[in-house]
Formats: sequence, C-alpha cells, structure tokens
Amino acid sequence: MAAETTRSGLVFCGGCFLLLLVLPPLLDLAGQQYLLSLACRALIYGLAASSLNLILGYGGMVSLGHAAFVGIGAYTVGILARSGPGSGLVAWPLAVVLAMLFALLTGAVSLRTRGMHFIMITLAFAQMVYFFFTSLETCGGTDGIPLSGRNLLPGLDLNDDRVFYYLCLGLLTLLLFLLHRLIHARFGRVLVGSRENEQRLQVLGLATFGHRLLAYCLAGGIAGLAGALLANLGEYVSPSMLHWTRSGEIMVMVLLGGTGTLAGPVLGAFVLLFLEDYLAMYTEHWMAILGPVLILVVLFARGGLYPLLAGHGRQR
Amino acid sequence: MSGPVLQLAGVGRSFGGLQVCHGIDLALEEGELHALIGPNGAGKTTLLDIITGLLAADSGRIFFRGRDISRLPVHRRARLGMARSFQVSSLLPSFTVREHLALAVLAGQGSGYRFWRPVASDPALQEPAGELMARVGLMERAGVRVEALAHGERRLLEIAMALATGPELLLLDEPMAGLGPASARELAGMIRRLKASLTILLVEHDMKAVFALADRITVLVRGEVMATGRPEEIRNHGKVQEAYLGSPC
Ligand SMILES: Nc1ncnc2c1ncn2[C@@H]1O[C@H](COP(=O)(O)OP(=O)(O)OP(=O)(O)O)[C@@H](O)[C@H]1O
Ligand SMILES: [Mg+2]
Repeated sequence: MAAETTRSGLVFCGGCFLLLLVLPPLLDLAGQQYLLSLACRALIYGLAASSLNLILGYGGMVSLGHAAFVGIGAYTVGILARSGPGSGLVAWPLAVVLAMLFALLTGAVSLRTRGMHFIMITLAFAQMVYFFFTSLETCGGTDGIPLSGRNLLPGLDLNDDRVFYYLCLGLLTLLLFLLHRLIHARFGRVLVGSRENEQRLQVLGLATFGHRLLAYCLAGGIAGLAGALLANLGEYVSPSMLHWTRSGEIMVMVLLGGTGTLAGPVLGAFVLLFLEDYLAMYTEHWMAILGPVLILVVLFARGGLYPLLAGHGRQR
Repeated sequence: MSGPVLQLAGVGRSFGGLQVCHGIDLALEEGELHALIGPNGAGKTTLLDIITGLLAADSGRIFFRGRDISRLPVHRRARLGMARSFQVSSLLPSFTVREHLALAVLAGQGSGYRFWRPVASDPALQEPAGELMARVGLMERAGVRVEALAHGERRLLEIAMALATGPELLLLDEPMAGLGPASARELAGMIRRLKASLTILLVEHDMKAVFALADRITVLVRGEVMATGRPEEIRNHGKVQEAYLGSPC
C-alpha cells in the first residue's frame, strides 16, 4: 500500500541506512571529518521534516510555522542550560512536551481554518514565538544562547561527535519506524482520509478534528525534539532557528524529497543541506542556483526525489 | 422503542434569497422505507444535507429517536446510527475499494485512535470489508482505486460504505442513478432485503423502483411537502400527478 513497502523502496532505504551507519569511519578515511557535523545536522532536519510530513504529506495541513516547534525545543534546552549542562533526560522530554503544548494551543485555533488561511495563521503564530524569544533578555535577545556543552545522558558522552551522530541516527530511525506503524494503523488511515475528503469521514462518524489535532501535536513534539538536538549539535541556540525562512526550508525539504513518503523528507534534508554547503563554497549567491534547481525538481519529479530514486510512483 | 426514528419539524433553509426548503415536516417510522421524490431542484439533496448536519437549517428541528439533534455536529449524528450515500459519489481519490470499506468499518467501530496495528492486516476490519464487497459485487475490484472505477461501481461502493457502519437509518440519495438495468434491479433487490433490518429514506427518480419499494412516499416540490402517503395514494393524488408524475422526469 505505501511506497515504502515496495521492494525497490526497501532496497533504497536499506542502502541509505547502511551508508549512514558507516558514514563516520568513511569520512575519517577520506579526511573529511568536518562533514560529520553537516550529516548530523541533516539527520536532525530529517527529523523535523518528517514531522512536518506527518501533517503536510499525510494530513494535508500545509503549515508554515514549523520553525516555532523547533525553536521552542531549542530554547528549552538553552534556558535550562544556563546553569551548566543538565541531563538530557530532563531537558529533551521537556522540549517535546512544551512544543506539543504549543501545538495543542495553536492547533486548536488554526485547524479550524483551511488552505491559505491555515498557512497564514500558522505563520503568524510562529512569528509571535520569534518575537517573544528575541525580545526576552533571559533568552539572549537577538544574540541567542551559547551553551557551555551538550546535555548529559547516562552512559553516553554526547560531546563526542560520533556518539552524538549515532544517537541522532538512532532517534531518527526509531521515529521513522513509529511513523510507519502510525500511518498504516487506524489513526494514519483516518488522517490520510481526512486529507482526501474530510466531510466524507465525518459523515461516516469519524471525529476528524481530534485526529488532525493529535497529528499536529505529535508533529510539534517531534519537531521540538529536533530543536533540542539542534541546540546540542551547535552548542548554541540561535533566534534564526525560529525565523520563518527556517519553516520554509523545512517545507522545501519535504517537497524536494517527496511528500507523503516516509523516507522522502530525510532525503530532502540531506540533498538540500549538502547542496547548500557545496554551492556556498563557490558562490555566496547559492540561493540563485538552488532556487531554479528546486523548481526543476518540482516540475520534473512530481512527488519529489524519493519516488524518482526509489523507482516507483509516490503513494497518493 | 416507539415513535418515529427520524422526525423533522418545520425545517427550512434558504440560500441567499432562494428558499430551498420550507417548513418541512417528515416522520420516518421504525423499519419503513420512505421515498422522497420530486422534480430536479426540489430540495431533496439539501434536505439530506440538513439531516446529516452538512448544512445547518435556518429554522425547524430534527429529532433522532426523540432526541433533538439539530445542533449536533456531523460525526456525532452519524455515531447515533445514521448513514448516507451521496448523489454525486463522495470518495477518497487515493484509496482502493478495500481501503474505503476498511475505513468505513473502522468508523462504525468507533474511533481511529489506534496507532500500532496495520489496518491492512486487521481481520476485525478486513473481514467485514470483504463481506461488504461480496455483497455489492465489488470483490474483483478490491485493489482498484476509485479513479479507475466505472461510474456504476462507484455508486455501489457508496452504498457499501453506508452499510459498513451498521446504521439504523439509511439515507440514500439516488442510488440507482447511472446504474445499468441489471445492476439497478440487483440494487433494488438489495434495498428490499435491507428493509427488514433498518429504516430507509430513499431519494430516487426511478419511479418504477420507488413505487415497488416504498412503504410511504413524500413528494417535495419547490422546497415544500406537497403530499405524503402510501404509494397508491400518491399515484392517485391529483396535484401530484399534475405537478410531477405527469411531467417527464
Ligand atoms: N450551496 C448552494 N447554494 C445555493 N443554492 C443551492 C445550493 N445547494 C443547492 N442549491 C439550490 O437549491 C435547490 C435545490 O437543490 P437540491 O440539490 O437540494 O435539489 P434536488 O431535489 O436534490 O435536485 P436533483 O433531483 O437534481 O438532485 C436548487 O435550486 C439548487 O440550485
Ligand atoms: Mg439531489
């Protein structure tokens, strides 16, 4: 039923996973260790993009406010860390819960709107969060919050870049697996159904609003975790994480990789971030090149790169 | 349980200046098949929209088993036990026949707040879905998406979805329209068998089918009830003959 369950899709995803698994030693051999942090960033953005994909790809909710969840997660870690690096077992779940809470409050309002109104209202809520954090002295204003180190986890030294990389890879893999189960379970079917014809589902007796709101909260929570990881990766919480262009970037990752496919958004995150990095070496006007590339992908690879590379049509 | 299953009291609705339904009273008794007929634009579909909650009435009240449901949202009304098929097929473009029915069965069982077990391999959903497909003759089309279905097959899927939730009240909006004679006859037989177990409000232009199936008939003309009665009463009703039955429909 889903694209991922086809053979070529499984082979493609399995191959990518193995590559990611051996990436750190490979980069060592090639003397390109600096790329590990970029790959790690791509894993974390893959997490954020996957969470957006849950509501955008499967739920049909085109949100342009995803940076708010990421930012709330990052600032939670930042604010807690002002008295020194604390336990990730406290900071990360708190980041998730606060992002979910924000999703619950704003989703209860914004999910009553549709189409362009929904895009604008999610953007507006995200901008409120941006101005809230940048105007707060305790949050470093526009300077952000530098961390004195990464969070502590029992048995894991996160300050070791490799350990942190594998943790991110593990979390991403776990979440993709959970999303896979969720999408094919009753909840996912109702979510996809309400994307296609919400009224029909209501006439069948399904409370679509509750399902959509829960999906919105789950997406917010996952994005909050991505934010917490991002703060740890750079050991810095930047207001730019909250900027609306960041929401746009996450959305581009989803569209580029393939909406409504499990692996697509992760692929999109890798392609976008690595392309950005590569182009930035040659010109500071990399956006002028990337823009047309994205348009070409959207025009010629409808449904994104993942269906193209994995060799099958996307699940529509 | 006495009293009507569904009762409308003075239901009205207008679009802008156009009064589409006006002071409609209607009562469906337990187990009856009540046909709602009337010329094009009479307001039949609008009335079904008001009963299911897709449209709000401007005036009047709706009772389901004596309970005022005028203000209940769409899904709550459905959960009370009413199901509907649409005149213009209202389906999910990316879903196959089997997936539609699994979703409809799921809806009838309650909520979708289950996060682990795949729907595709859940016998509690797939077995009833399979039975429904067999019942309307769509078994061979199980894995086909709606875009590849013929018009008549979509109509049958509509009916199967309405039945999937196990309703007590079935609202059918022109189920025969667009079916070939053989399928229409088969569907008429199916509706007749359903009569034994549930209450049906049937909107239909096929007069032969209506007079063969209905226990009672309500004639709607320009948003108003012109007559309600047994088939033979309606057949011999002067005004109805003049306004409706005499004219080609
Ligand atoms: N959303 C709407 N806005 C404005 N007018 C509407 C709307 N929906 C229906 N109407 C009008 O209300 C009238 C009744 O429409 P309705 O679809 O209920 O008729 P019907 O009896 O089902 O006809 P048919 O036999 O053709 O299906 C028509 O004149 C139609 O144009
Ligand atoms: Mg109609």
